[in-house]
Amino acid sequence: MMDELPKLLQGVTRFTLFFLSLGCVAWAVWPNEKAVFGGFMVGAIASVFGSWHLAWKTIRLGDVILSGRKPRAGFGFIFRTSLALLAVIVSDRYLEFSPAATVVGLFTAPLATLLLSLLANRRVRGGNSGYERGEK
Amino acid sequence: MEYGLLAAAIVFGLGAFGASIGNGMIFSKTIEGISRQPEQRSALQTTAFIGVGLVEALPIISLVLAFLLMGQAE
Repeated sequence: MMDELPKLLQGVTRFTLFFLSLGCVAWAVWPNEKAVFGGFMVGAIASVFGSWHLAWKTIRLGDVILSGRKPRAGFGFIFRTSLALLAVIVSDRYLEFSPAATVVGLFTAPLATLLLSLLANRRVRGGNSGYERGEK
Repeated sequence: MEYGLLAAAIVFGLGAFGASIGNGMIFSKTIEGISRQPEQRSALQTTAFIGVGLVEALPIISLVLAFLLMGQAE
C-alpha cells in the first residue's frame, strides 16, 4: 500500500522513456522533421522532471502532516512552470526546435499519469469478484 | 502590439486562477484526509498527485503560450 505513488511514478517514467525512444526513431527516419521531434523530446524530458518534483513534494506533504510541523514552503508550482518555460526557451532559442512541439511534449507526463491511473482503477475494479464487493 | 501583451496576461492570469483554486481544493482535502485517516496516506497521496498533475498541466502550457504571445507582440 505504501508504494503506490512510487509505482505510478515509475510507470510515468517508463511511458515517457517509451515516447522518447519513439522520438529518436522518428528523428532517425525523418531527419527533415528534426525540429518537431527534437522539440517534443525536450518537452517530454521537462515534463517528467516536473512529475518527479511533484511526487517528491506530495510525499513530503504527507511527512509534514503526520509530524505536525508547519510546512516551510509551497508545492513548487513556480519551479515547475519555470522548468517548462526554460524547456521552451532552450528548445526555441538555442536548439532551434519547434516551440509548439515542445508544448505538446510537456503534455506527456500528465497524459501518462491520467492513462496509468485509469488503467490501475480498471484493474482494481476487474480484479475483485462480485462476492468480494458484496454484490452477490 | 498592446493586444498581444493583453492576451498574454489574460491567458496566464485565468490559467493560474483556475489552477490555484483547483490545487487549493485538492491539497486541503488531502491534508484533511491524511489527518483523519493516517493509514490511508498512500492512497490519498497518489490521488493528490494524479489530480495536481492534471490541474497543473493547463497553467504550465498557458504560461508558455503567454510568453510566446509576448515574444510576438514585442
